[in-house]
Amino acid sequence: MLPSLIENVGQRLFGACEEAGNMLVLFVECLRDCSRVAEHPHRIFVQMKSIGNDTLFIASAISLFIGMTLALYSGHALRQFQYTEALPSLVANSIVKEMAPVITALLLAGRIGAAIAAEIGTMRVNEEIDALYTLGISPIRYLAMPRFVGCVTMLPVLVVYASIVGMFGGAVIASAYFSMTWTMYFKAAFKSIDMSDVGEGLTKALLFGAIVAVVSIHRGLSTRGGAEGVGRAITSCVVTCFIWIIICDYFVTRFMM
Amino acid sequence: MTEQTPQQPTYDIESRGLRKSFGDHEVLRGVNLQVPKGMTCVLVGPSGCGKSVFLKHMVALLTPDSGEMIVLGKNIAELPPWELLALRRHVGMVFQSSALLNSLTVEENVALGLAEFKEKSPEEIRQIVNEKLALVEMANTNRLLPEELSGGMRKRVAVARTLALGPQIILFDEPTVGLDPLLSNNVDELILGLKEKVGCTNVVVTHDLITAFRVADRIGMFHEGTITALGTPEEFGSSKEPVVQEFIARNRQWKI
Repeated sequence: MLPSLIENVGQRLFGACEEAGNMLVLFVECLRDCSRVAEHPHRIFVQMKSIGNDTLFIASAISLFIGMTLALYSGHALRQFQYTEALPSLVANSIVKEMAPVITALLLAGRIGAAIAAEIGTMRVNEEIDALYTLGISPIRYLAMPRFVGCVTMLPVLVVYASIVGMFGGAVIASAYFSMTWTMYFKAAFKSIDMSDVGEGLTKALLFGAIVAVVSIHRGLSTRGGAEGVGRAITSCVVTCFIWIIICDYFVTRFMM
Repeated sequence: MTEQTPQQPTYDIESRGLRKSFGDHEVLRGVNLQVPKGMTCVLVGPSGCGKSVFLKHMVALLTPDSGEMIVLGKNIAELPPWELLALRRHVGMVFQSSALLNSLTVEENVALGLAEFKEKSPEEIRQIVNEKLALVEMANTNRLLPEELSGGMRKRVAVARTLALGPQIILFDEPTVGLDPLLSNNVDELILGLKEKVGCTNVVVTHDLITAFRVADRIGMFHEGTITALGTPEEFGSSKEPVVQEFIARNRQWKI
């Protein structure tokens, strides 16, 4: 009983290490192929456009309501201490440094990561990836690199956009419930954040973008077992991205504190 | 194919003691094969006997556990990735499922390899694409998507895509599987036509003996992870090997 348990745990650990190693190799290969971005710019443009188009509306809605909820909660708490003037600073810092990067990254994982895993996974089970190899085309250069560049470049843009929309949501609540003018709110909000706060948000965005891209591409390329396998790859991709984003968020926050 | 000519021929493909296992299941048990330049070699055998696995070793989609696969004079297991990609441009493969990229049109599929390397102008690429599509009797289908084509048409486009890179070797994985007898006949004609017009070395993996006898210069039988019989179609047909006789008899029975 015990030896088989140890064997099972050992196998899982070994599998996890192997998978992490494969993802690291994929990350390095994507970075290496980034030197060839200029060769096929339209492929990268298509990915950037698709990522932007597919996530903009949902990012807007989520950020707006998160900003509103944050303002509502913190405003009520601050009112008890008669300190509602701290509301813009609290909302702006929470949004820029934490909520916008994490929520937008989770959204990217669910919307774009799942689509990448599904697309590449379907290509894998239909032998289209093998066909690329036989044509002398590297699937990393043809499929992975444009998606990697798309995620890594578009997530920071989306995070900046989500931060602005989130702060706007906070302003709506601040003016409606806490007698604060829009000018007063935005002045205080922008005063409370400096370049290092923006830098922290953007660092997280870059890292999370790379995580979503590498995990989803890896899951797609290692898909086995037909349509069922594609389904498993998508689920696994989203769950893995969520876990890694949350774990990395803690460490980046701790490191940049 | 071995020891057929007095002089040592130039082999485009040479497999020496190739072994491959998946888990505990040993699929290839020391396969030896030599395919001279310009020859069409057909490997037959029942489904699941390892023919396609062996074929995938020829283009390094799989790597052997032991033994050597020498393609165009190079041991492909020892090649660095960039040389492997370069070698693959000389070895085309037509997949069982055709493996066309479903999001691309027929023209984009055929132009894929050429466009990626940017060695030719768009005008030259278009010319080559039209020429190869005409060769496989698929002219004027440039703007169609793979989903708009029949199984036989997809096979033809897959052949055109392979031909566009001017390969020295073409590998066919079950080219007639899933096709009705008329379409199968079309594919056989296509392979024969290519042999005549292009003159490249072909390796065909199939369990369809009609195709095998029509297109082959040499036929080999895959059995228990090795090639048990190898010879001209006449020699193969009159082989005394029990597995060959049984395979031929069952194929006849099934066809009737």
